[in-house]
Amino acid sequence: MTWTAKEKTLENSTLGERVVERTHSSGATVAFCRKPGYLRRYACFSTHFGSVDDRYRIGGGEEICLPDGVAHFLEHKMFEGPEEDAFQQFSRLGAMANAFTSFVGTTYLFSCTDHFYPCLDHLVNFVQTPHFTSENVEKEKGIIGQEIRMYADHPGWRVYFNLLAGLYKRHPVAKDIAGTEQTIAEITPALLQECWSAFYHPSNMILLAVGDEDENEFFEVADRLLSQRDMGPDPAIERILTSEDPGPARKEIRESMQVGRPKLLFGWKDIHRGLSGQELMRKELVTEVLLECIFGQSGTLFEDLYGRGLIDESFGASYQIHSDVGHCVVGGDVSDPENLIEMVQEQIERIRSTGIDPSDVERHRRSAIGHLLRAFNSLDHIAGNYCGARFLDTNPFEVVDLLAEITPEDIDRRLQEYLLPQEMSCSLVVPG
Amino acid sequence: MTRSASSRLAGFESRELAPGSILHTRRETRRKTSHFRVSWIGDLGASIANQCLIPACLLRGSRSHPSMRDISRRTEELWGMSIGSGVDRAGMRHVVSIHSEFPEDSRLPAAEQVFEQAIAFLTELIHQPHLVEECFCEQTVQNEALQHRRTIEGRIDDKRSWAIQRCVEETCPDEPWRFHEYGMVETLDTATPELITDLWRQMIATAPMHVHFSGDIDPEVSAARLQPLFDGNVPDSGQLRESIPLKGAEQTREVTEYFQVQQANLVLALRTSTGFDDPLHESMLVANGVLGQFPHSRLFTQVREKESLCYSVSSHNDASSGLMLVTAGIDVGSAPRARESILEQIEVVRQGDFSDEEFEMTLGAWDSRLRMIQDSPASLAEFDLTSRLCGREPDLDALRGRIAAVTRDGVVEAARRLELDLVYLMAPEEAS
Repeated sequence: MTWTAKEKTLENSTLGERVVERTHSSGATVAFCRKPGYLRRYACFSTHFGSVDDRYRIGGGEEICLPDGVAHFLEHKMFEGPEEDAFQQFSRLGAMANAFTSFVGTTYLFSCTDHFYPCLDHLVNFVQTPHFTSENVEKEKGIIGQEIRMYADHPGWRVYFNLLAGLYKRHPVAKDIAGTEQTIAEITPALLQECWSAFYHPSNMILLAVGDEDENEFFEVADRLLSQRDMGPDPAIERILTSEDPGPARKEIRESMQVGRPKLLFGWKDIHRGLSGQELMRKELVTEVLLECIFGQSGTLFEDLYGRGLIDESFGASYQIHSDVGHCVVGGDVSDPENLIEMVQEQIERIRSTGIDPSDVERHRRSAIGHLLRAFNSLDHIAGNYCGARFLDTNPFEVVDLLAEITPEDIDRRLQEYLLPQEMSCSLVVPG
Repeated sequence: MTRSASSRLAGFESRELAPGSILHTRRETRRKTSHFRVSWIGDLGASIANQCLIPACLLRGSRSHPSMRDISRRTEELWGMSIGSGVDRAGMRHVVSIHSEFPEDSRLPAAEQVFEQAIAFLTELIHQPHLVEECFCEQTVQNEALQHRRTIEGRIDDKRSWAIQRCVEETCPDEPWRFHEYGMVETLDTATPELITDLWRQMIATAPMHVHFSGDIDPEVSAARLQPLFDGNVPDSGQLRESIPLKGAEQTREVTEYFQVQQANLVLALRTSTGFDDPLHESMLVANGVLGQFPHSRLFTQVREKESLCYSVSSHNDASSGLMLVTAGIDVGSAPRARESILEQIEVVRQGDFSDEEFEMTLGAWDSRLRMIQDSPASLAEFDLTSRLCGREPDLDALRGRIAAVTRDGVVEAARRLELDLVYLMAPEEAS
């Protein structure tokens, strides 16, 4: 086998980074980013199968509904082999391996300083060789059950997922990535095999390496590794999206835990089916600048709340975008949450009526470029950023040019339609 | 597996500017940002909470940027320069630090430059804070004391860390490492503008001080620019307490405490009687690796994967306090079996019943981990500083050599020193 499409180069001169991307005849997207002088090498094999992929059909067949937590369960079980688990071989090669499941994907990764290609070989092999038995699936339920309980005791995790539950009425983004002890009880080896066959086909996957390796050699080895087994035709998965209705599911969710001080998150959601990749990225950037203008540490709101002792340095805002929905999350460790929310809403309305200060936008644009430069020091960040962007069908390197195009009017326009008081949902974890 | 050759990357060039105060600079050409850290060294103790307020107060305002908001706006203008503060412990020492990252001049668009301005800004923050009648503002000090009080009270939010800290407090009731680096809330009642200003003046004048800088600039040039940070710094000789001898275990004790948690946390404290200067120090590091530091370690493969008792289980060796801590997140009903299973694995290491492969994998993992430190200026600075504070030569290649020379017999000899001192269980309230 070999490459099916012309090589693409994604790059940006300000960031000083370049990713070369090819499509393998197996269907896999294969990409490489060289980092001269770095001793560490990083590679990941990522599938576009995350916790939001709860319904799908293949070839016009019947709709398949998955229990919550399947993608994460599959991540755990892929490490299991007939003789030993996949970690062992990485350890023999002196490498560190890991995996994680997000809302939109599952990533298997390793980092090493030596034996990069044997590690890459092992990565592709273990992800393409499932070994599910009744015994090992049942055993994993105990381990994942403990993982679920560990997160249940984590107030930061609870306040975040309670906010998502308050924001979304139906969308699966609100479900816990690991599922619950009840939903994972339904998982069987046959179900895992079915999901693996559908979502782990190379056409749904990205193989990416970042580090000081030779580009041509990497693509040669990747070609050989991806050609060694016949993965069959592209199953042509049809993801069934759950449409979300406007307005929050609940105005407030409050949970008591043994915590030192209250934790408050509040947020607003977006529904935006049909936006192109570049439009999604632009919306994300405009929203992030808007959030910085209102909630950032250089704003009057932060200074006022901090000075009154209502917030600490943990207070901040972020925006998370998916193909069909998005949401911002604002908050941190707080005191007097009711008063704080009132002050926040007053400030939003004040800025909505007076407009954004253009000098704020310019400073945040400058600052955003500095943050990007810092982030691109990290091999892990480059990989995560690239895979996340490709799953959204965006080009991660367009961000600098898009940032340059943003105007104060764009920010004002966004504020007129967003952060409306009736659309807000709050999540609180309080001592109790 | 053979060990890789020396990486030949530039290390720090160190200049002792006063006894115990050292400026460390190195050229780093691979990254897009410069890294800066200044650290002041003191002793851990009961009354260190007020020292923790010093960096927080410094970051609230400087002479030409008198408010927190002014500081934030300045960092945004300087291309998103990050500035943060920290308090840590290293053995019996307390470390107060300020750290920063900012883009390399060569990476900025339109021939913009930031290095000179960034260093001048950091110097002003440290040496010329915003003072009113020669003191920090009353409101700033009271506000930061309140924030720090909440930080201390919020430590319980992270249940695993809380369990570990409680275990260390119970294990070492009269040793200096029982103190948390944040100090105690009672001390904060004494925080006044006069006291915190005095502590700041004392710290910059008399505390041993280290500045670590990595950036794409001639180390001679960066050293010349950073030297003014040491103005007026003349550490008192002998102001830090002498190291105390490590203790062994007596009768094994058990402590169970009940919390509002779903998952129990088990912590075993073992005395190693092996400090940094002990000939068996590196053997103890490898013994810890065989036992529970890596995915191939016995705690992961046996207690988690084979017995399905937990999701997280690991061991951690702290040579400065002579403690090895084993932690596991478990179902409370499994606590007796988890404890037994962990002790069985310790016994396996003590008896030398681990395979040659496990031993080799551990050496490989250690070597890889140490090499990777060299890709991160922050990790290099941390390694350099903690090595010096613990009386160890800050030479990564020398440490790699000593670890590569560890033998199986050495690991067994080190593991036979382990004595179980205390078993701490954080249990759900329902189990009481």
